[in-house]
Amino acid sequence: MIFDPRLVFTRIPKILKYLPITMEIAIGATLISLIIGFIVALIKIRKVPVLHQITAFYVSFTRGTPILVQLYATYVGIPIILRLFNAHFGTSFSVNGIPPIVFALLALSLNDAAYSSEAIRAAIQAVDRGQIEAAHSIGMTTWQTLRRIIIPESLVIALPSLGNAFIGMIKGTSLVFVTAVVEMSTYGRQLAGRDFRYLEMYVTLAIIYWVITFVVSKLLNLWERKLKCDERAAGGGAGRDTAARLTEKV
Amino acid sequence: MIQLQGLRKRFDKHQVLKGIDFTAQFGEVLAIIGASGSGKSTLLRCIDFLETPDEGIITLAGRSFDAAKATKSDIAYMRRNTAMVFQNFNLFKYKTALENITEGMITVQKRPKAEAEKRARELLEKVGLGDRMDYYPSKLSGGQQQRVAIARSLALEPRAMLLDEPTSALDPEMIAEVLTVIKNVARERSRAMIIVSHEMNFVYEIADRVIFLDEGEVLENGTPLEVFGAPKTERARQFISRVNLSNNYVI
Ligand SMILES: Nc1ncnc2c1ncn2[C@@H]1O[C@H](COP(=O)(O)OP(=O)(O)OP(=O)(O)O)[C@@H](O)[C@H]1O
Ligand SMILES: [Mg+2]
Repeated sequence: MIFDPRLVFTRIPKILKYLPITMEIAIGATLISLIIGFIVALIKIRKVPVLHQITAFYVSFTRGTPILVQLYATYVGIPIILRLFNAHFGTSFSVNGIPPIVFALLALSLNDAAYSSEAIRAAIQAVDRGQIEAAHSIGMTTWQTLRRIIIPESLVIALPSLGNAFIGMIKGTSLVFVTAVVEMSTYGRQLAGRDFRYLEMYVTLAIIYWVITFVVSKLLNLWERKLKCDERAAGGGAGRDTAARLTEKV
Repeated sequence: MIQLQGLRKRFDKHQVLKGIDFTAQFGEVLAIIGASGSGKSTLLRCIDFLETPDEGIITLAGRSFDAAKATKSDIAYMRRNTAMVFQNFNLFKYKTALENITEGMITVQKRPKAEAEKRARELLEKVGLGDRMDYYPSKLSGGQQQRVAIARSLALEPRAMLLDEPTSALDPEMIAEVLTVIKNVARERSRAMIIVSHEMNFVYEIADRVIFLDEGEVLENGTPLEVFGAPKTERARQFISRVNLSNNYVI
């Protein structure tokens, strides 16, 4: 048989055993990316000297190179850096001590942060200046203002684009075979390698990814709608529109 | 008392405040009047360090410092001991009326939540919004929002309250309710109030002293009767003749 439709479905349970690792990578990398993206956004907004130039280079470089190349570079590069570090400082860190998932998380989050930093920056800047001044005037420090007023408001504003980024991330995990992490796609390829039923395997994978991203995007929509209701209760919306426009390309 | 000596502020080449001096005792109401662009808002914002003054000595309740060399602790001191009421209210839009008021008490003053909420309820009662505790700002009228903002500033027990045109953004029918609240607060005489307003009748009635600001300089500084009744400068005379003080006040 050239194409065995039954095989497409019988293999789904096997592949799904690797769904947790796929989601672990996607969620982990997204969270790390949020933190990096937030720091990069702050550096950009504050125009911190030196760091500002460095992050601009990082963003431009990351956006301008394929993610596959970045994954390879991380996987191959970090051990070399580690060896140089050991040679220089007389330490003995072992590359083997690093679980492969670390390379995957590092590369994916650094890649994602280059994009999300822009959405986060726009969202932070869409927070109403008057509320920041009010926070300062009641004596809140910069950090307290950030934590209590700016971050919660900008998260609401940035949620649509961050949600899209998360969906992109789920699909992006299929590339981490490069770093020797076995997740759904890698495992699928291993299975197919035994009987050369590659086409069936790729159809299986396509269906699984599609269902996951479909469900996740529905959940995100619900969350967004809930926030929008809260927002209607809380008024406003202008800031959000501006941010949405600013981040459309991201 | 709160005192400014030689306060100066420049935006690029534009010298907005050209050496402001004044003193307001605690319990005193100081009104600042002047034409648009004369620097009234900038003056208030410099006191709260929403703008950084270039020069001048600021004194508040015995602590005095050079504004040009203000340290973080000086700025924190000023912000904690003064409270600003903004023209556009600037309430935290994702917080209810009650949360707007407890925010500073909990985050800045580190008071226990229950105690802060109790105090916030009292304050909301005081400004006549006891039944609006759990409303978000968008569900409140402008006048109600401004009253929440006044309660928010009172929550921190400031030594000086700074009000920048608190009724300018309000529909006419809401101005009275806000002015009444401000009058009640002023009557307590427990803090200095520095208020920028175009409501001349209100200023005349409530202020102990009036300062007329013109192009960043204090041209008049006296009782309402002195400043409105017998302005010393031509600029002030012109300004006062243009603002209509209602006939109830015979000058
Ligand atoms: N952030 C700023 N950057 C540059 N110029 C400013 C800034 N803020 C105020 N100015 C200028 O300083 C001058 C005084 O402004 P300010 O807002 O203090 O006036 P005001 O007396 O409060 O006027 P109004 O009655 O219209 O509120 C104006 O010419 C204004 O354009
Ligand atoms: Mg003003």
